Amino acid sequence: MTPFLAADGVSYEVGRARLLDDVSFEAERGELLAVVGPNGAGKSTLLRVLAGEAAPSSGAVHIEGQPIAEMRAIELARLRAALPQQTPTTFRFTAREVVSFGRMPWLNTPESAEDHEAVDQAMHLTEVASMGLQPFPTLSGGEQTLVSLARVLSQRTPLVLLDEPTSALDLRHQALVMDLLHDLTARGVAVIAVLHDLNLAATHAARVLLLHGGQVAACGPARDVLEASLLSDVFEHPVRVIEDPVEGNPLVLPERRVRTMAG
Amino acid sequence: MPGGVWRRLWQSARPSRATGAGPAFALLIVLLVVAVLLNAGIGAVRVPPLEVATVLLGRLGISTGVEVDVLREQVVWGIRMPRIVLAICVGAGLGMAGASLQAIFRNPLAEPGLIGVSSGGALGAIALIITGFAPLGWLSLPLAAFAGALLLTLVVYGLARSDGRTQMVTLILTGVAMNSVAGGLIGLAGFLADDAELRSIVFWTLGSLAGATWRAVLPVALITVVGLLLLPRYARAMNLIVLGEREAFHLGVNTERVRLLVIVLATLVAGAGVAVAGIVVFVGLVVPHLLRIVIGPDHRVLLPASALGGAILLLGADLVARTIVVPAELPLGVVTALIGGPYFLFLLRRTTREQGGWM
Repeated sequence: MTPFLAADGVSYEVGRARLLDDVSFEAERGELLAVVGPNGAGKSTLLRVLAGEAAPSSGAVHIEGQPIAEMRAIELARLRAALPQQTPTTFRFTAREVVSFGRMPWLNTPESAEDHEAVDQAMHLTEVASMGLQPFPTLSGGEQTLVSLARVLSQRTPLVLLDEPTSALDLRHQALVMDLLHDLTARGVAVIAVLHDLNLAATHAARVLLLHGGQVAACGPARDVLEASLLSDVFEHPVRVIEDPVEGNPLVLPERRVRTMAG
Repeated sequence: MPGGVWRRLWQSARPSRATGAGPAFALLIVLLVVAVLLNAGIGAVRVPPLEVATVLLGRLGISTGVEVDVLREQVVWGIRMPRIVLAICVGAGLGMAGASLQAIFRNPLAEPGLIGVSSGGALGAIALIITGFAPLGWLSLPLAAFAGALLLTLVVYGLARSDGRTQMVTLILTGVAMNSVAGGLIGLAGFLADDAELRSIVFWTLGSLAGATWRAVLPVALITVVGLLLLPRYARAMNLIVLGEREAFHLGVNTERVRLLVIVLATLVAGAGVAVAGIVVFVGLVVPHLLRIVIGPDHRVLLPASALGGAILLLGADLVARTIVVPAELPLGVVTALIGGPYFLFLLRRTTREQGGWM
């Protein structure tokens, strides 16, 4: 059976820098795959390639067996939604207008009958319904993330790509977003999220893709990938991995480095 | 300006901006009609609004039963109306081109002049003035200006592209660089020109509608109308590009293609005007900003509104230009710059203070 999403030997170069080096992995519908790794490991670049924004220097990305390089922008937009780290607009669209942009790919299709309901539902789920009339640029960073996430949800695609969806959010909203992603997978959506917080990945993701220097250092069940010696190596910092006493999932704790003052 | 009135009218129509655009459009159309009546009526020969309306409706085959003497009819229809139609075309073209370019460049500084439309047009025209080369008679000058506008814009766009992509900052900086080269060439032309040519060059670089005849205006009107009808097709795509370039692609917009088409169309509508009226500054920059404050950033509404607003602003500016120093006439570009600049500064400061941000 062809996997839902497959990256086959994807490399991406800018000038002489090789940001991605022969990255291969697969993802299925109904699965939350967390992409983790140190700064500069190529996480955001990988997401851009998966989204079709950046064409790989070699290798290819397939969705349902079809190479995305051959798809038109509008076809791709009906298959995958993407949340960049931030949306930089200074134009004063209201929050609701921004969310409703998620429906644009479905313009002039039968699905556009769902427009209103999809926008309402997405804003309700991300708890931004009350901000509907506020200009997007006046919202706080966290609120902007939630509104943008609502836009992604309203797009109603089988593949959702998220670049650090939780980094601007407080504890409660982090949990809200992770629960939302679970709900998406339960409805058969494939979710790929770059997560900075290893413990969020450990708690919520069935599978984890660990990138290191543009290469796949490990990819598999969270328990196998989030392993102390591997993480210490990749992050160049000693970590301990313990078991969450309640949930049983791994927890990653950075060791305190003992510093000796000079002299 | 009745900014406060507009905003109140508008806010009563929220939240559904797109459907609540009615009051703003009604007001813009009323202002446009008033501006047309004033421009047609005021001048050395005064013609009351009723008689102006009679002349115009008469042309449409509608009789009002009012007597208008032949001289006045000739002044209104033969002299002032071509100029009014030209003002509407130039203003509407600059307004909509400005709004479109600000959208696809995601930059509030973008306007037709920035990417080379104005200086390219002026260069084309001035090359003809200096060389005296006119193979196509009266059409040579506007054609040369139009070709210059299109050519310089494409050069700027071409230079800013690499690997099939266009970095917006690169494009704007390329525009700045090419504009300064063009400015140098125009200055050089002025240095080499004799007195009569110099007057022509100054006329061209400062803008004027004085050359309007039906014969000169009709091609401009045709091109402008085509552009004004085609640009709004990309309004939804512009909304998404304004949200973010990556976001637009994620939502199914072929951003490179839309950008190229919009640049060509914007050059078409703005360049057609520049070709007969010379460089008219500030309209393409000010009008979209002004309207965005009142009606918001949705380009489905903003594009047609900017066309109307540009037409109104240019009619007003031209009225000032030809009545304030009678019997002489001020260059139009001088009026738009002297009114537009300070008003824009005032708006900028007030908006920044009130809303903590722009756009």
